Amino acid sequence: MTRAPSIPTEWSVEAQPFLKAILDCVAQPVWVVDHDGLIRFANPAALVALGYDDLAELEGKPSHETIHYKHPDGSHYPADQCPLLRPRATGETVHGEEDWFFRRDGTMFPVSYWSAPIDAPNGRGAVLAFTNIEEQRRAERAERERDIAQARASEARAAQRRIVEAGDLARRQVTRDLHDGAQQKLVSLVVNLELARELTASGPDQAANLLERAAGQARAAINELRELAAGIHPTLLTTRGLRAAVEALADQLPLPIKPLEVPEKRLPTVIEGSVYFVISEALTNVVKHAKAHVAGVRVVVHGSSLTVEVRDDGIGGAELQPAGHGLAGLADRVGALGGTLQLDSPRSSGTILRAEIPLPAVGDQPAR
Amino acid sequence: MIVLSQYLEARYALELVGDRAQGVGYLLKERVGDPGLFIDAVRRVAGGGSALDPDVVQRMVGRGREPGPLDGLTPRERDVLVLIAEGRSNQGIADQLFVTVGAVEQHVTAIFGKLSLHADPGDHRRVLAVLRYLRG
Repeated sequence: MTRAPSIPTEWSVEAQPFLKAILDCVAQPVWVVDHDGLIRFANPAALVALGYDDLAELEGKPSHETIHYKHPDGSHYPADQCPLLRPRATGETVHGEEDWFFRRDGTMFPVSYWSAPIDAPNGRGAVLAFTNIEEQRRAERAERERDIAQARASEARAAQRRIVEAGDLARRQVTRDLHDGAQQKLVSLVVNLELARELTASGPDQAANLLERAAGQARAAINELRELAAGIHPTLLTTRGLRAAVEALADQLPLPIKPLEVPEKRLPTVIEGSVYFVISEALTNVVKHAKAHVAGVRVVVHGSSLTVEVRDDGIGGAELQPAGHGLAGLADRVGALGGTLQLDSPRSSGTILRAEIPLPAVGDQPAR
Repeated sequence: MIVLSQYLEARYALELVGDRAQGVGYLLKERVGDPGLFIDAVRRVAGGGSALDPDVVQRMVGRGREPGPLDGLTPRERDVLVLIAEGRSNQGIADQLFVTVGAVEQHVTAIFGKLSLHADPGDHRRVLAVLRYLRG
């Protein structure tokens, strides 16, 4: 511990013109309290920073109660907890990176400070040098916000790319399904029809056989095309809305969906499409992986947003990663609408998938 | 009136049936190519009955549900239930399953008992009761 430097027996700096000139000119606010915590000196920079015109307005007032009496959240700041005043008692030098001072008009500003012990006429006081760090904080905050915005933008670009890729993948899958399924059946059908024509005279029984097979292939092709079309975009979603589409989806699943709470009200097309996508993807996952006995679907519209919840009583342990998998694709899709996706899937106690999606304001809904 | 649709959607069929399963039918388009089934459906509808596509009914019966009275039906009773939902008369069901009308009547009584539905002699009433039950 260093010995605090002495100052002359009187408080006034008027007696030392050179020292006074330094303190008057320096941009650094300087503030001195005596052993009782009363303000004994403030240089012009300190007066300006705190919104006072003259030292006379402050001199002899309790420092803590004048500039440091509450926390930024408005709660009382007891003087006995004040680190600025501590050098008086302990002789240590105290540094703070962030604290808050209050101006004469009650407004506050963030400061960094050094508070050092100083020998004063009535015992050890403290000399305080502080800096208003409002600008610095604002710059830091702006930089942080810029970083966050950049990170968001780059994540949005990545998500967009993944959405496009997922779309490509889905189209390739449709092509493959058409090629391997309906198209193959139609090819065999044509072959069977041609053979049957050849045989109409010579082998009518064989011809009838082939025709029956051809009819079966045609029916199978129709069914396959119907399933494929329904999988791409269910017609009920367009004609009757979300609730009807989800009910029809539930009808095709091997487990009961209870509760099934979906509002009857029509929503913007893009929202209905995405909510349906979330539900169908989530239920597909339930059927494939969860070993559940029952699953529930709940869609709740509250004011300017909507919550989708799909839960099951299965084995849990589902994950949003890796990217490109079903659930990660959902996160991208929901994210593209400004929403969030949340997965709660502890091992062996079921899974809850919840999406929050903001609804467009009434004015900016595109025409249906 | 018979609607020929390309959509295998119970919802459309049920909206068509509404509160009275009389004089209406909902069939997939390709049923036109199945003369037996199609003509039978046209006759039923013309006679004031109903005709729901077998695939539509299958989907309604087959959907996942919690264990319940439906699980207590025998396979044969299930067949009969499906044919009732399609809108067939006891005679039609008997022809389809190669059994006597008396046997069908017994099955129907058993089904309605197990599902706690009110037995009703009218064909269209029992169609509605069964459809409502399946929608449950």
